[in-house]
Amino acid sequence: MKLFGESKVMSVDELNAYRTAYGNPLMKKEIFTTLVVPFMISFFSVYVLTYYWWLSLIAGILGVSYGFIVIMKINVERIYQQESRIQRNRFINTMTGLLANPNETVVTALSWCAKEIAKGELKKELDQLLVDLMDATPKQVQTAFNLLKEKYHKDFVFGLFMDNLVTVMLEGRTDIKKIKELKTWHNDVLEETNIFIQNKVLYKRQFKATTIYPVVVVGILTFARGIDAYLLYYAHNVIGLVCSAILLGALCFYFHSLQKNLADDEVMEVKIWRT
Amino acid sequence: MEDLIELPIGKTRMERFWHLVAEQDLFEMVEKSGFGEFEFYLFQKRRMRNALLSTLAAVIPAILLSPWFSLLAIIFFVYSWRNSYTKEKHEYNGLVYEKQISWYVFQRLIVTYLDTNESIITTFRKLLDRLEEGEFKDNLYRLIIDITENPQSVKPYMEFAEVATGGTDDARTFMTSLYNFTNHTSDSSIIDELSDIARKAMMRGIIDIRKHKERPFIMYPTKLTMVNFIPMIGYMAGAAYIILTQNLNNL
Repeated sequence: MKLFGESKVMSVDELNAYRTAYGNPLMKKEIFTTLVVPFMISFFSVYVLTYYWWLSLIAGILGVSYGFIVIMKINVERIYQQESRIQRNRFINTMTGLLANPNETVVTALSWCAKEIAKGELKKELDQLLVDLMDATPKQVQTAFNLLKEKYHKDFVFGLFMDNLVTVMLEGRTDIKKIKELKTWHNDVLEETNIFIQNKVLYKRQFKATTIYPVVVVGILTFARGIDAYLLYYAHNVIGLVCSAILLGALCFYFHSLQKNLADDEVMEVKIWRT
Repeated sequence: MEDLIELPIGKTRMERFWHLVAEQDLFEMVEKSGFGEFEFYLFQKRRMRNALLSTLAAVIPAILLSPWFSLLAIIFFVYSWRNSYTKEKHEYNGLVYEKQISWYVFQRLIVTYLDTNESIITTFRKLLDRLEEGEFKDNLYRLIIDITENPQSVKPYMEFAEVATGGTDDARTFMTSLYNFTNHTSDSSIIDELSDIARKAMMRGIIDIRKHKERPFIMYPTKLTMVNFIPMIGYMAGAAYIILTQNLNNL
């Protein structure tokens, strides 16, 4: 995912579309963490470095816009992706379980899944798929499944699973083993993704804990020879301002790079294979 | 008929120099990315040119401020010389990852497609449909042709393991089992075994990707600790500057 450059800023509608896809409306806590906290942090970090309130205010506004444009987008997208991943996994597991029964056809299994298992966006898509499958020619069956496959093209195993469903539907049940293989594969990938996401929480906490050091250093400098000396020597001095700019620039750079790394939850990227 | 004896053409002094200044694994990296000597020299030359150009950045402060700043030229040179190597290494690692993952997917897919009733060629053809144009697809295509020409031989399989994956032991074992399955036993227990291998390999691959993606996170604390020197130095420099100017004015 590229954040600056190609990507566009998400509109509020789009954000909400992502959110409501699996029922997760805008929460008060989220507004606090993605808007208020960035404002406070950028305001105070600039204020303790320069003691110009207008400069801090500009920084605060920049912080809020960053929170709104980048952090919120990343959070919303990550929650959506994870939810959708879990739904797909549940779907695959249930389908495999159902198809193990030789009396079930793909359509009956699908309709059961759509009714009982799937939630939110996936449920709608399965309903649509079932409508498309009614009295469909083999060609239409293929295109109906391909729609889903295309939508989740990042989930390679899901695409394969869809292919196998098409095969089962058109050629009759041949071998449930392949589908079972794919199910295990999908479970493996999901498990590793979960570990990745958990580890990231740890890394994020580590990052937060380390930001205490610059605060301590600036605090020591402020009170080392009194606040007047600090203002004279550092805060309102050209050398100090340049150093502060470099420091803030470096911190922003690291923070943004952290956010970019956090955004990427994919543990299986296959470039040369078509799904 | 006279045999033409090809004399081994020795490297020129310049070429030997390029090899001398290269990092240990640089040539290997260039070679494994599918390039030869010529590209290696080109890379080294371009690298040298860029490094030399970067030294020019030190000229202006050296003229304007102090001749001591010309020492910066050395730092710039070393930095940009090293930088192009790390960049290349990064690219190479990406390439290796991609290749490995393709191989894991290939293993996994072939197991899912493998069928006792179909010939191995049909299975390979199904896989071929799935692949984007590229080196891997060409290799698989060549494998199919080789097998068609020489169905009883194990050689095409081994060659494929060699070129498509860089000849790891796992790849060789896998391709041998595949050969045995198609030519000798056609027993489904071999498929199970293969699928077990494929599954483990895939799992390892996914873990590798995860670890690779986690690596940048580990460096953040160090980086954050390092920037702390900036305000300290700034404070000291600012204090020194102001005290000096005040004292000079008092003189």
